[in-house]
Amino acid sequence: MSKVMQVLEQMGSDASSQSDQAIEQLLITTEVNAEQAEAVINKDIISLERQLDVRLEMVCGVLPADDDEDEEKDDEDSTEETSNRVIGF
Amino acid sequence: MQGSLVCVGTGMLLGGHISPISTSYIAQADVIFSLMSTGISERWVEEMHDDVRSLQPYYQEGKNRNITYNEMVEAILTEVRAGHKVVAVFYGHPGVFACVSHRAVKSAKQENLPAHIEAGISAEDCLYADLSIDPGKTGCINYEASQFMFYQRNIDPAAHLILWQVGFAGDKSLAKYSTGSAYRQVLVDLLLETYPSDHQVILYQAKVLPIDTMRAEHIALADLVDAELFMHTTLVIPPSEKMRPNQAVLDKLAKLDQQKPQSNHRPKLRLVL
Repeated sequence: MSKVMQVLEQMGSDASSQSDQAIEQLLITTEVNAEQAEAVINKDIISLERQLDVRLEMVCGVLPADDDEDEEKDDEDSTEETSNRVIGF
Repeated sequence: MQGSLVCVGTGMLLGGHISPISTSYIAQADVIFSLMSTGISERWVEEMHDDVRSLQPYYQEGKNRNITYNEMVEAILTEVRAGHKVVAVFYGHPGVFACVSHRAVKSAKQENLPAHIEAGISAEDCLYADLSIDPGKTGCINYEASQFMFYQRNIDPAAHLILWQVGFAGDKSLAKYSTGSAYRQVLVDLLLETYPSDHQVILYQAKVLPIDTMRAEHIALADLVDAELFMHTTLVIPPSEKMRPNQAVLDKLAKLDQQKPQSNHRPKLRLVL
């Protein structure tokens, strides 16, 4: 696991890594690079995302308002082009 | 070798909420599928295992999300059918407001492949802690926001009402990732049938990264129309009325209490000769 991810994981799980002082010490001991350390200290998520080159467009809705999977399959089966994309329902 | 599927949740907070059993399933899996809510948490999962495949690319604005979800399920099931130990990692609780895990487990079981969901810490769990709401105090009703609009649902103004995915409330196409103020006005009009326009509601977003901050913004219900909403914003509507006693039931219970007064004073032990 990368150093900065180790830091984030410890910040999220270690009761003694909650204060600003403890986080700064953690960044030093794990030898996180200066730019990433600055982003962590400043809670600059956008900067950290860019430095890590992670996916920026994330969708986080995982529930349809109408969760009728069988009906959806029937609709899809009537469309030859896409029917092979919905299997198992 | 028979394949298997376990759906696990990372909880909401990176590093802080994932359970030991979920971590173990990830470590011992052949293939991991992930559906996380931020790029950083997605990277975190990727760094736990050599073969982590994000389900995010299946999303596409303008594409019906039901199709997206079914494609995700099919990707997962393909690996299970191939005999692999598959773990699908979701943010939050993998079985709460998450149709992909339920559909995948259902499909696997229909094919006699072992599959189950491990409990995780959901956004709802965080909400109760962050907003100091005890759902047992006055009751709490949860609805998906669009579903709440599409169907005739009951509102109890003496209980908390929580509407999820309010950022794209009213999207009948299931193809949008946000809806505008006109859609929200329809939602507000619906809520105004029960609540006063100045009723204080809360826009809630759980903390998902240790460098993130929790959002608990109090606004008047009428101001929801122009509020800044995201896909992960939840609308919390506190009670606007006090609970009213159900006198008819209370009277029935009182009669029962009067009929068997001796039962409370019955000796615990009786000598039988």
